[in-house]
Amino acid sequence: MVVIKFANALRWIINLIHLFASFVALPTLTLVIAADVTMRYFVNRPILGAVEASQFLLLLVFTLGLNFTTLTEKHIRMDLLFDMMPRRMQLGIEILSMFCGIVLFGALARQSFDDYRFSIMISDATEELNIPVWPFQFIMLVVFSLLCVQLVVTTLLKLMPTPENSKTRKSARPKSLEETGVK
Amino acid sequence: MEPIVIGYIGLAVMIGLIFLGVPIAFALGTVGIGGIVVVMGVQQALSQSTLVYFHEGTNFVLIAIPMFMLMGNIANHTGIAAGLFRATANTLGRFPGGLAIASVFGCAGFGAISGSSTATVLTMGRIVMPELKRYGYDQELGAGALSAAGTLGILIPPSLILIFYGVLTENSIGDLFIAGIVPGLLTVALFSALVIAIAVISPKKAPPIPKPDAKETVFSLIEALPILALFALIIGGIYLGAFTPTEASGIAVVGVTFYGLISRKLTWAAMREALTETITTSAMLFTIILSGYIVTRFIAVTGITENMINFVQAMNLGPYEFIIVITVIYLILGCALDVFAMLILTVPFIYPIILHYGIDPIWFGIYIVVMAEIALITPPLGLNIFVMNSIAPDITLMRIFKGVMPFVLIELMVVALLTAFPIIALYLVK
Repeated sequence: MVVIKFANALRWIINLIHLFASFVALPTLTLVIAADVTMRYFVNRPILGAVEASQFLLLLVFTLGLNFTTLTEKHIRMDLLFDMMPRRMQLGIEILSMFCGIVLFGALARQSFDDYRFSIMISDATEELNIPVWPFQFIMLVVFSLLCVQLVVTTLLKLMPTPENSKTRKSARPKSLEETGVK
Repeated sequence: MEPIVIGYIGLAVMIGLIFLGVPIAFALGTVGIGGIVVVMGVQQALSQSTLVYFHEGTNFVLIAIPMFMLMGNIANHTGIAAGLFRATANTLGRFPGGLAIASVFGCAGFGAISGSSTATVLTMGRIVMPELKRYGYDQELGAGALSAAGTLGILIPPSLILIFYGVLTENSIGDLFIAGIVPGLLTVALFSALVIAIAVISPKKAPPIPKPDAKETVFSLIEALPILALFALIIGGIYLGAFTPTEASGIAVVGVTFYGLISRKLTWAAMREALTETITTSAMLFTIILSGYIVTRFIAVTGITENMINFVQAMNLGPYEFIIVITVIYLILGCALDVFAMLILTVPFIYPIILHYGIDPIWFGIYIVVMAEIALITPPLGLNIFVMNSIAPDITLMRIFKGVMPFVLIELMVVALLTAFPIIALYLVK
């Protein structure tokens, strides 16, 4: 099936983004923060632009984690009623959730496109390190657009007539921290 | 249509979507963006969305979220919990109900490092439950004490819920952390007193355990020292103003990682899991924060806040009566909602009223965390109870709920004490 092949390709891309966020962006953020504090308090020489760098690394951490979080359905939902609903109604809620997600991420994608072009036009850059802002807005554009696509694809997969999909299911919201990391 | 009417319709739709099972961040975001579109137009709604995203996504204070989360995730894999329990069991085991008291103190200590209530129950539960069984402790008492003590993870700093509240209300996270210390210790003391009382009244529920020798006690305390030192460094540093919570979070991650590497308990697989888990949960929390901000802007442009304040004023409630009313509301919401959902749905509305009454926002942050603690152990959605049940499947959910009820009453007593004596939370801050 074309949808399944497309979903697999999408999953591959999302996993790649997630790996970058986990093993590059997050450790770098940790190191920058720790190094800056160490240099400031022990050597009295703060790292120039460390705060700015960490702010933009944080943006990457949050943004690049969104696709995987949505793909694995880790967004908190109230599943008390959902779990008791018949399968058809659950599917209706899944479609409604998809539309809500698309409204949120679609709006962000649409405006990121404008912001990104505007930043290039005015050569917007950060104050201390003079880092151009447009690459971050471009990343936001890609991530949000991908989120809209993946919401459609994952909902389509749930609607496919497979034996697994015909069962009334417990919501994907995990019940323990081992699964969620929810504090 | 009047903006205020649009506002109330939006709120009704939002609550409807959440109860139907739409992810909370999506429901809030959709209503926020849709509402701003109706009131102010499409362009305003679009520009507000990325404005909030970029502003909050680069907010230096928010760095504490992934950092403390990473610290907790690494700590889960370093054997800290076992060491802490050994130290507390050897020291406190001689008291009536000593093993259960040790688990309360162990949970408080591990909660301080992990910042998470469910992680605390999960990690400590796996270590403590077999010990409680071995010494013939009453299962309800043991499971109840562990489930309840696990909630201390979100009150004793560093706490993700306090960071979340601080970010939403623009209050000092350092002050919130400091304010959480005394109520946290008070809860530990009251939980322990309850266990002692149960053990004295029905000794069969908590039989005495063999006394450890002095050498073993000293060794176990030495083993727990690095963790206590790390906690002291984080909180001491924040309290003395040496560094901000964000900076402390960076130091904490490095500290726990070093401890894990030196003690040879931190493997590459554990580190990989900690990093990926942190990214996923951080992104999830950030989406809620983003949507919460968008919906708050929608509320602001509709004038609902002023309307609600007028409504509460018309009810002529005093501050104490108001606290009683919201306590009941939180108890009900806590039965149905996740703690983050509970906060994001209520704080934008209740916070302005709190300020209107002249209630200290730092105090309110601690109050709301205690209410979140209760939500974690009350049926039908008490997450800690389900986690405990997954560790000890032979104890039914009903029995765990029964075992935790005395501790819920203690938590309500903490709320009453906090309300009657706000200084409990504010003493160290002031």
